[in-house]
Amino acid sequence: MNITLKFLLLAIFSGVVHLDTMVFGQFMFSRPIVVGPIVGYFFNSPQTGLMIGVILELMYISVIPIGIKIPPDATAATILSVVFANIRECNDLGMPMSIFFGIIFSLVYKFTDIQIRTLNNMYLSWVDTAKAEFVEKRINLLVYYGIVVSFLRTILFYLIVLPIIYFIVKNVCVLIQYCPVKENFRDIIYILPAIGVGIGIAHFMEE
Amino acid sequence: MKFFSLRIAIRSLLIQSMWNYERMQNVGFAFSIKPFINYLYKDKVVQGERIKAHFGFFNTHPYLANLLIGIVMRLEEKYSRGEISSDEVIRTKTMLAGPVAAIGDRLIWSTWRVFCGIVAVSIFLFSGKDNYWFEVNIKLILAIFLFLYNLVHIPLRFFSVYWGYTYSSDVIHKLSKFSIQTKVLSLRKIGILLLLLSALVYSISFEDYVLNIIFWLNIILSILLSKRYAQIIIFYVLFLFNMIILIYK
Repeated sequence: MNITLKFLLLAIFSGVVHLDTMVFGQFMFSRPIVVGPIVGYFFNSPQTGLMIGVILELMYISVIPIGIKIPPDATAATILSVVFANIRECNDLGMPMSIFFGIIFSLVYKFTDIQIRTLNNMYLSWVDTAKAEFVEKRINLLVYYGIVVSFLRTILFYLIVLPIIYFIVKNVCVLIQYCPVKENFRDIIYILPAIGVGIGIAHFMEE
Repeated sequence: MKFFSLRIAIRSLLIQSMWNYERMQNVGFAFSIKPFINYLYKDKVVQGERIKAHFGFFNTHPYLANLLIGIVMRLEEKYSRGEISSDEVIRTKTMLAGPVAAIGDRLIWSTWRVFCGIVAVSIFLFSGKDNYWFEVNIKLILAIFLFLYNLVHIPLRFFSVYWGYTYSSDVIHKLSKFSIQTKVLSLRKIGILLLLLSALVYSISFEDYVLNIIFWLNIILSILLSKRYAQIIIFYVLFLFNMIILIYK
């Protein structure tokens, strides 16, 4: 399967998975520990997906959506990280590099989320000004609108971002191949879960 | 009523579909309670007016929102009989949203979800570096995580409409009898223990004492930094720190 078709399928899959984070249900299908291996299967490397899923699950373990606070998107970070960990040019360096860039671009996803939610404010008056007999229909339409916009926004985000980071990560990996101490960097992936373990312990130690 | 509870619980899965900064979950709330309003009032105009009355600001924990929907259903019945005013219905709904959100955030987001994540992650860590101790079963990890989490989530969502309707405003008092705080603290202690134990087993599999020291140094540093900085900052700081250390290893 060529890379463009893979990205397209992945964008559609991400559109569905991201619905779980906010729009529909919150059954936690979108958590890194679940999404990581699934995207990994997509690239025939579920073990890489699981490793990244574990690192990011731990890192985002104490990130909680409270009130108007929109947390950084763990799902986007995981999907992007797993995709780029599988870039051929990166070899063993792919995992740490992809997590490094995946997290940055998950902040971009968070930004689009804020924009969509701000945009949603505009449509409230549509129900406020409706005649009583049309209220029900308009509320239904708003709910459907919410689902469709969220789904399409996610697909669009991935279709734009995937080629951009693909280009960045691939070239960074090529540059690192010339680095004399690159062998040592490989071990960093085994250390990264420790950061999340510490974050998890600190979170549970809080009053 | 059980039929309505089920129907409303299913609709409430979409409570955050149109989340907005101005009134937050208002669209989802109105969408969820609509079948009950339609059942209570036969006149289309009254139905529309009552749904509009519930279109104001509303924000709580998405799972426990169903508890409030149940309470509002009971109050709406009283309103339809002329026992209370519309203001009282809306005021009670808004007043209870805060405490219910606080319970949900502490119980679900801050404890149960984190605990389930730790259980799943621990299985991976127990398997050691590159499956050193045993071959990890990926599908099993996913199944355990999703099953464990939804074991609480799904019944909570589906029963809380019924509880809210049955016990009305007393439900908060009933909830306090469950000694939630004690259970939360127990789960947190188990979580910490599980994390430490799995981290220990994982680090033993390194067979490299320098990596072991760096691993535990990272745990200590991230605990210390967690008090002051956001997770992403901690990650990048320690990522760069590890890179520098590994160069000189």
